[in-house]
Amino acid sequence: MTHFLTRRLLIALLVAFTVSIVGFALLRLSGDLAAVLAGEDASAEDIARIARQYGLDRPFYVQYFDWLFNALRGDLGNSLFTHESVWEMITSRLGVTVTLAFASLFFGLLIAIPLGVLAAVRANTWVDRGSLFVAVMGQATPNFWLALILIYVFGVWWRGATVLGVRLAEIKIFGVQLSGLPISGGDSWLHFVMPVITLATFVMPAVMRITRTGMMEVLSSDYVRTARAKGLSPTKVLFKHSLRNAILPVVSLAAVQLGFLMSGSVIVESIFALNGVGYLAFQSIIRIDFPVVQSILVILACSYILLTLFADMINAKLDPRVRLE
Amino acid sequence: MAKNVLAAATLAVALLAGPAAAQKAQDTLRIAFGDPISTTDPYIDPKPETSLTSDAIYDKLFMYLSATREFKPVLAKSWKQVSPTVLEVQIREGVTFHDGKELTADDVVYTFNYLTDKKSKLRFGRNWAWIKSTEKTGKYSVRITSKRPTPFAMARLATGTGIFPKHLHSTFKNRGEFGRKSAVGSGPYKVEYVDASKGIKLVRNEAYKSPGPWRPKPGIKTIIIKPIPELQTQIAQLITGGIDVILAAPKDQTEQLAQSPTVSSTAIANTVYQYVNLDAAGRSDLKALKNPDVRRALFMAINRKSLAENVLAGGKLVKLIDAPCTQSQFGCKASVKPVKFDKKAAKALLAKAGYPNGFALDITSIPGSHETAAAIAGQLRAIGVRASVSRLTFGAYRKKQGAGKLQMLAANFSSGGLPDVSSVMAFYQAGPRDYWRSKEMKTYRNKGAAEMDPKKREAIYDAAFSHLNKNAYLLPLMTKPAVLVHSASVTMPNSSSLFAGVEFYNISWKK
Repeated sequence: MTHFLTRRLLIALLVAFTVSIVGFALLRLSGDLAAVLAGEDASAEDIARIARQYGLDRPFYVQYFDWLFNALRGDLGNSLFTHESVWEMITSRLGVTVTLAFASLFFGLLIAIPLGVLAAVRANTWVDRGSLFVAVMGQATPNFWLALILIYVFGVWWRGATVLGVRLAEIKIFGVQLSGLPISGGDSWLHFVMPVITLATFVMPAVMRITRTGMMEVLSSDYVRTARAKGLSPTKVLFKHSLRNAILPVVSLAAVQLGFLMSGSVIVESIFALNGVGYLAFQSIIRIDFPVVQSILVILACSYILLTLFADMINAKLDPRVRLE
Repeated sequence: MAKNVLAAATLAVALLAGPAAAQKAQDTLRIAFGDPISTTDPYIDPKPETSLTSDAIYDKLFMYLSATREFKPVLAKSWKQVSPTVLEVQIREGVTFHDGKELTADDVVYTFNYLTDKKSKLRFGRNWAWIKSTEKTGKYSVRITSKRPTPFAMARLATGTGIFPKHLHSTFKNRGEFGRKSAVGSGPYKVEYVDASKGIKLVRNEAYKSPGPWRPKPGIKTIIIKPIPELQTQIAQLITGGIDVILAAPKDQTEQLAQSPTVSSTAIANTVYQYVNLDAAGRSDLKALKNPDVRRALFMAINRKSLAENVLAGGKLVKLIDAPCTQSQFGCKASVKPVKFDKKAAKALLAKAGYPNGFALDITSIPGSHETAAAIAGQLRAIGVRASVSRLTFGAYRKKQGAGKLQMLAANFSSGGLPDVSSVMAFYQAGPRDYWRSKEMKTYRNKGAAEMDPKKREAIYDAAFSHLNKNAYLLPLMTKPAVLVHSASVTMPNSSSLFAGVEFYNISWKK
């Protein structure tokens, strides 16, 4: 186990190092940072002065190692554009992104796994076809389109809509008035409903299909036949003996999807005005705010590795045959 | 289909006057910023949204009224240009910062010294690089000495040069933190919070001593600036009463929204204009552009009137311009006008220049000018020029510019709101942005920056812009007013000294 963890840690460091170099190089190639900082009407002298002030006139490797040595000492530097501490910028936004990512994954799994099990149990029936249709639709739907449609339906149309003479915004359920969902911001849990639906729709299809495939394979195996023959209840066969084995690839997939949700939710964050790391990364890339982008890249790369490590450990727990090697 | 959906949504929700009325009752105006800001300090983060916000918080010595083209005192009581390089300013007594401390000459001296200190690491520090020294000559008087005669000094001090409190700003090791964690000024609004997620909340400064009707005490008590990056989300919020003001929307959506009884749009004249320029120096691989006839032919093919009517929002405030500047800026005149639109003559001239079948042309556009560039590409194709548009971010454009790869550029320029064409002339200095290599333009630029006599200065700039038009280096297109889309319960002024929008203190509730 120690050997396994040590090896994983070394891989994590190597990946973070590689990502930081690649990210640094790509940022440098994407535009002239000194000219961007200096502004539209800056002269060549102004740009050169800015380059000197911000250390951008130093050789590429000097700039990179300067950043690296500071980062290893815990100093991620300041934003070149707002002079804000990069650490503070990221940590103040991480809560939103993590909440969004975990909530989306949770609801995605909540829908996808039962749907996948159902599709496998009722294979080649209308239930199965229907589930696959839902999965395909989820996969084909661009999440920015879905986000805007949700805003329109639940944020705008709902407030003025009347159905069968009843104003939808005046309907109450358990004393709570359904006056429409908040369109943007992150002040309360209600602000996360539409963003989570949007991202859960992204999570669901692949998980559902892998669950279905895994379950079908397991349900046709010898030991499941034996369990049925021994008289075990269908529920026990399904959930105790089958799902546990079918779920292993889902754990790995979920880990990767969680990593993607944390790094790729920029569209959802900007549409719903959720001030998360994804939108910060987007803003910083456009501006070529190098310290911010570098730090986010490295943090996300490390997060991916930690997530896959966590997934491996869960798999080892679920299946004793899996050894952490 | 999207437009019909928007129209239907707008009308469906139009009856919901409740949210707008509620905000008026609470005396709270909510403005959406598409590019969120995390500081109120315009020196650290000099982008349009910051300049709009900081103007309400930090008073300047003077301000410029574009409507009457004159300087008015704000913190200054009086001023005198005692020599071409010395400006003496008397400061109003009894003005206090939001924390109650009195504003004196010490704060003015401190602020200007901070702006001119190389260690301050300010992106646009060059705006104040003309200042040699700022000295306190009394508790309420300062002397500002420039390195050389600087005719635009007043204009610069009136544009985005807010005075900071020395007793607070100097305590920050990282001066960039001031605009986030302290944000104390002497202006009509004070800051209640600056939060990257929630936005910025401004509350009327009840102790504000207005210098005059040009900078009055605000009519609205509270302003909340909400960060909403996506335009469609802003529109959804506006029509459901979640916000009251959007700073900019495309022309078609602005017109559609304004059809609703609960939404209005107001165009505000400012210093922003659009233009196209060409690689007359032959830096790119398109050598045809070195030929003045080719350049004239290309400009003759551009129907500026059509662009003004169909591309930009702003109605009558979108005006054709003869020089790359706006009428509110000192020195904006060109006796020699740009070439007139004439498609037939353009094609004939292109053929005469040796290109009867046209050629391929790359038009680079930057944010804010993409639609104009696309329209121009279509107009050029009508005369056989195979125009295509490269839509770039600002950073990518600057890189391409520096590499000498721009053939035609369609862009907008704001001068940072400076009411003087000296900032426009910055385009004609040597370096990576020089696509004309015109000795005359450099001469005009240097002369204009040093001439203190207003009439002589006007003549210099007239000659400069006429030279531009004669040689078809650049085609000025039209003004680009700020177009605010807002709740119908809000009244906006129709002029502003700020290029990005309107002064917050001039916004009021409709009676």
